[in-house]
Amino acid sequence: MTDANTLPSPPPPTVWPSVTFVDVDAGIRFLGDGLGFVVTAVHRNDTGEVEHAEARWPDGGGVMFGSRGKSGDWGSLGPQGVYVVAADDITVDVVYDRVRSLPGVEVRQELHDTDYGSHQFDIRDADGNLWTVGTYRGA
Amino acid sequence: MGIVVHVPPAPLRHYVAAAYGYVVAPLPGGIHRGLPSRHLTLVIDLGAPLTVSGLGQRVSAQGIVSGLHTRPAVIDSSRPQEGLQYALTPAAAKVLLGVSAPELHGRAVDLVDVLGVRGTVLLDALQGAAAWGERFRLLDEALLRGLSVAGPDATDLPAEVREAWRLLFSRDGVPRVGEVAARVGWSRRHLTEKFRLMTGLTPVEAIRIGRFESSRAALMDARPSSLAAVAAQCGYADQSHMAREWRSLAGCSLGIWLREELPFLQDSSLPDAADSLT
Repeated sequence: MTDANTLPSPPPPTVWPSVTFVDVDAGIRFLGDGLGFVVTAVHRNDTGEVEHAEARWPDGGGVMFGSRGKSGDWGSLGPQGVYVVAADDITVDVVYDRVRSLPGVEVRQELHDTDYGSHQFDIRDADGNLWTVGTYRGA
Repeated sequence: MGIVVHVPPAPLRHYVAAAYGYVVAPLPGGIHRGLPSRHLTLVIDLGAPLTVSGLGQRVSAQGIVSGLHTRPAVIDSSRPQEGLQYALTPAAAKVLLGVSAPELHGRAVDLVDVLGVRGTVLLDALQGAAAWGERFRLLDEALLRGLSVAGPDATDLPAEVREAWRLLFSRDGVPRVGEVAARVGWSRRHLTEKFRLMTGLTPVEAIRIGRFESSRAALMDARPSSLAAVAAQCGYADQSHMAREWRSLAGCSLGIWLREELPFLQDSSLPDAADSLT
């Protein structure tokens, strides 16, 4: 049972990588329909650019994202790389099947098992970000 | 046809007020009204996708989560259905599903939009599970995973809100908001704000739902001697007051509900989860 005297809190502290998309609406579909993130916030400015958005990974953590080219340092980021840790092999299999069929997604490494025991694959999204989804949880 | 009652593992019991599996034939009227109650609802149908309207945008999906509501959820029941239904406490929304009760208030949403790939994996696995024990285990595991992702910092509602909740849903007469506020040591205004922020409901809505639950339970218990007696017993001013509340909360007259839905509910002996919160 948890302490009942404090407000429901945000998730535990973790690392939030940031990625940008040229076509941010396609990026939302890529994250949600493809990788299976839950998009929890999308804030747009007057011109329709996404200034800030968040997507929660159901096994913990998440990414922040926005329009590539928005003002400021974060908008001038180029393609990034993100490693997404899945809780089990089945999740990796399901994501692999879903994400491959999306437009512009390029499989860089087919689904395979590494010699360090990770069940994983690598893809590049339509805007050049590199994603690995695997079960290796770190050393 | 029937109901399979399930007791979830201990860590979930604080959040899951009732859990059961159902196998039901099509209803004569073709729709089932999901009536307002103190619980959020998680339904996963293992047949064709469920279609729910009346709560925000119409949604059609294998798994549906609906928040607390003061209008009926209208569920297409024109086909046979088989699946799992869990009644969740407001705290469960954030802790088990990662979405707060106020965000879900008055809405029904696709489970996959809430759980992401975790929902897809769960639904796939459930499709391959024929035994009830296995089905409940898969769903419990998915919810336990939510509990572990939320982490040790995930907290319940504040003590004042929990106490107000208990008092507002008390069946010892109809509570008054002012008295409840005084009991928990908050002003009426502060209670109303905090309560809505945490649950999505106002205290007044909670009282209406609690009274409505009482009348529904009284009507289901046995054919009552008179509707006037039920109205009096549940704290309505009179029978026409109860009738107006039913029309508003159930979306149909009491007479239609008694004719179309009550016989079915009594047949399948749906568990009344109303007493089992916290």
